[in-house]
Amino acid sequence: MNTMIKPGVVIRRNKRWLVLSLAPVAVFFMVLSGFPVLNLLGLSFFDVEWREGAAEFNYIGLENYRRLFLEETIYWAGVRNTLVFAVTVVTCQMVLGFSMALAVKRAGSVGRTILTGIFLLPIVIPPIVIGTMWRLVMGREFGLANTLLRWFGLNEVDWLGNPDIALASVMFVDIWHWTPFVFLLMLAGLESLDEEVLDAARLDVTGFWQEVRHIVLPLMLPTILITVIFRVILSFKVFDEVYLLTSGGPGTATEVVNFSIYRTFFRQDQVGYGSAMSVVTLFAIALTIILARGVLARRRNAEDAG
Amino acid sequence: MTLRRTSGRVAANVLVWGYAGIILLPTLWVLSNAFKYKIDIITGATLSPVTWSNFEQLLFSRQSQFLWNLLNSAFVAVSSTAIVIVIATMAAFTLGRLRVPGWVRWPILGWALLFQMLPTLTFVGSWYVMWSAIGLHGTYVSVILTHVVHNLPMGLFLMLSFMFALPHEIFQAARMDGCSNSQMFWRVAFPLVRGGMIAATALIFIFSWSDFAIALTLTSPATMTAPVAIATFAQEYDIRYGEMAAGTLLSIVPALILILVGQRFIVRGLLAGAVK
Amino acid sequence: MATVTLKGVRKKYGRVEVIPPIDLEVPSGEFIALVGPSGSGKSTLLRIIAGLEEIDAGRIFVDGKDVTQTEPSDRDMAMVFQSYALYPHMTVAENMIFALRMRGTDPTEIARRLEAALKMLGMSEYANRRPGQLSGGQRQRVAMGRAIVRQPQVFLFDEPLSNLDAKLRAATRLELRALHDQLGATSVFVTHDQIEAMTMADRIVLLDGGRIQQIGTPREIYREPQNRFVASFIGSPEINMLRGMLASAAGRLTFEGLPLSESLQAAAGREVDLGIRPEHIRVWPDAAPDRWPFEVDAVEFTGHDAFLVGKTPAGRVTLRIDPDNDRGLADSVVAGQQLHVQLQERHILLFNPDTGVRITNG
Repeated sequence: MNTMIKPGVVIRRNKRWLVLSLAPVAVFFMVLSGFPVLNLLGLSFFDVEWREGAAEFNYIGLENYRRLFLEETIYWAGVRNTLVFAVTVVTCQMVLGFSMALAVKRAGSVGRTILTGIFLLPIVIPPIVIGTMWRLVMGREFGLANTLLRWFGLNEVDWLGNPDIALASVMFVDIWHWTPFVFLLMLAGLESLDEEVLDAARLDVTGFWQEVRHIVLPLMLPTILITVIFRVILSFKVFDEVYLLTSGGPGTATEVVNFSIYRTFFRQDQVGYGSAMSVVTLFAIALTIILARGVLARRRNAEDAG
Repeated sequence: MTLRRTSGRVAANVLVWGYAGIILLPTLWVLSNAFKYKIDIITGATLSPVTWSNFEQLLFSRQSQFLWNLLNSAFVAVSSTAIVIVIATMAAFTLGRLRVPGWVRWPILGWALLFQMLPTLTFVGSWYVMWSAIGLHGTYVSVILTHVVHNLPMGLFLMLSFMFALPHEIFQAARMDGCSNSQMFWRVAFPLVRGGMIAATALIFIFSWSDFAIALTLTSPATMTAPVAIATFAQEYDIRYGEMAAGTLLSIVPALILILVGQRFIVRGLLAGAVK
Repeated sequence: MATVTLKGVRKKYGRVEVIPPIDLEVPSGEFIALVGPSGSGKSTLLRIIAGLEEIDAGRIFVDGKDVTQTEPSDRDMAMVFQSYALYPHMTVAENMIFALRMRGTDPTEIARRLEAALKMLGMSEYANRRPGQLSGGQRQRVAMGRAIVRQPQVFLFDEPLSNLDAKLRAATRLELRALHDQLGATSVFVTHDQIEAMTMADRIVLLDGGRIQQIGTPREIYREPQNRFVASFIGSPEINMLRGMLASAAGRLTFEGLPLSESLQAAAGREVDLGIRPEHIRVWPDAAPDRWPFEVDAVEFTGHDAFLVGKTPAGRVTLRIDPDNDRGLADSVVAGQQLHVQLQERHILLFNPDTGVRITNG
């Protein structure tokens, strides 16, 4: 710099930058995501009624929580479905995604760019559109699925209306939706493995399964673990597709936690009760995330140490 | 070369291209409905006359607001993405490449991580109540600012990963050359992460454009975005299949454009975001 | 122990031919070095032998058995990689016995071989460490151990010493050669370092652009290079190459004014590249008919050698003097000083300037 600036001025300017660059993020987080949690917590002790556009608050203590834990059935059916949903879809996505990534890594594929483009489709098109698409495909009368079944002379299936099948149908859509993502992650992971180690393995192992079992899987384990944990937690977010495909029905066959919350809040206008549901869900998932982080961190430390 | 390798190659390609088919078949089938008359959709005709009537109905008829919905979506997505990228890039530079006290750094990053993974639906009730209380429910402001906070963690982590890719030495050199923090940002960090910013912009735009839960609960008929409108079509008693397919097609146009022109940016962003 | 034979082996990456059809035989028990600059195809050739690269034409035999279509794991070869390629999730012992375990070798036999190898390499106390906890030299040993326990017919080395520091490299060179003699296996060693090749190999295969330039013992390669590339690649400092006319006037042969004897008559009357190694130039304080004037540009003192770089009428040359045996020249000479040099004629190598091929008498 040509002109000398007093050191004190520079220090003050640098401090000002620290504050100004972090303030917007901090303010957004505090006002629009931190405060809402407190807000929910507060609302959960009230019974809120809407009268002529104005809210009327009645303090009822823990009544909402008592009702949620002792009388509620739909929400808990949703919890059960959400867990089944998460475990099933993530397992299928991992197995499918990993197998395809392994195949492409080992054998190469033709038209890699086009293939990646197609695999990106489900990831980038709006989930609500995916719901719409599959609602049409699985439609009873004119859907593609039943049209195909009829071609092969089979009976048509009520994919979304049959309580025994509906959850499986929704899970199928989610697997369809997210397997490409897992595939791309796994492929990137496989391609970042040390090529010389894989070459060394080719001289040591006597077959494909030995290579997968003893070399590829152990080397990929950290990536796989992180992906599984993230996919499970993110699959707790499922809402859009369920909203469009089944709205939780028939009965509680496809009820998921998020839909219960939505219905309580916006269709039944039970703001206080809905807040209690949100709070319970929020803290349960937050606890899961923190525990999962802890497990991952400890694993990483153990690995570094030895 | 060897028979074993050739057969492995064939099998691998059958597997992945088979899956590509499973992705494409339903997608193309649905989209093809956008160009069919209702009668052909219902009878399941494969080859049928092509029509633009669904698009005309959807975009220009008196009863339909869809054109307006698309414009709303674009306005909300562009504004919220711009805000996210600007504030996330500055914060990511400060958090990733400057000395920041731990009691500032870890609450921000920790909360961003947690908030990103928590279900959106647990927050929408609270947002609804808050925006209503100050009379802004149903306005662009409420949707845009909520989208900002919703996508901020992703933007922050993406930009952090790109900042971390820049070597420390560059900033040490800049410091030696007499740069202040803001000069380091504008003259060094910003020009170097421009590629990363494009990747992050593409992804955040897609997320905002795709959002359903927030728009569903915070928009009014005047500010309704395309995904909410599509959901409304689908839930009507007499489903208008053709128009629904046309709406679907129009709402995935941004995604298609991004895949065509910015594939590597999306992949880069997805991977950077997922590794965190 | 086994003989490795390559017949007409050819490799292309797309349209680029990296290995033109090549023939090579490595006799049983021999230690052979594949040497060449980067991009010469030496690593590719090694990976072809290992089966890690597919070939576009030709056959590979081990003891007469065609292994061209055989998987790498079934060729009974072990390889030591440049990065060592240890399995990061296994301990030292697990790394070393992995291949045996995969083949279902008898556990007592595995234990016996492991113990022997650990002992041989002095790694016994590190058996339960992970590669991440070892130094570079120790990792290199584990990589060798992994190859040793397999007791393969052929050892393949892909620049295994290039990641070691200079001191360790020199020591490991000797050990590696001793190991080869002890195990009696056939070894193929890839390196870009001519010292490694010269000190360890029975025979050297010098490659450039995928083509074999010369095969021979280190002495043959050094003393009788068949072309200019070989002469220039081997030897440090590099051989002096002087281009000039080998003139013949009145029965007397001269090169750029320097009289030469009849022994170089074969190339008389044409332009040649004259090669002379730095140690084959003698330096004198005063002039004589068979000496060129030599103006010193720089003196490089390395301890056991000293090199003078300077100008002669035929071009720039580097020459070596022996600091202990030069009457104090190495300590007194300074840049700018005028001296005289004489070429030791029996060490002069002549090359065709267009083709680079060596010109020999008769």
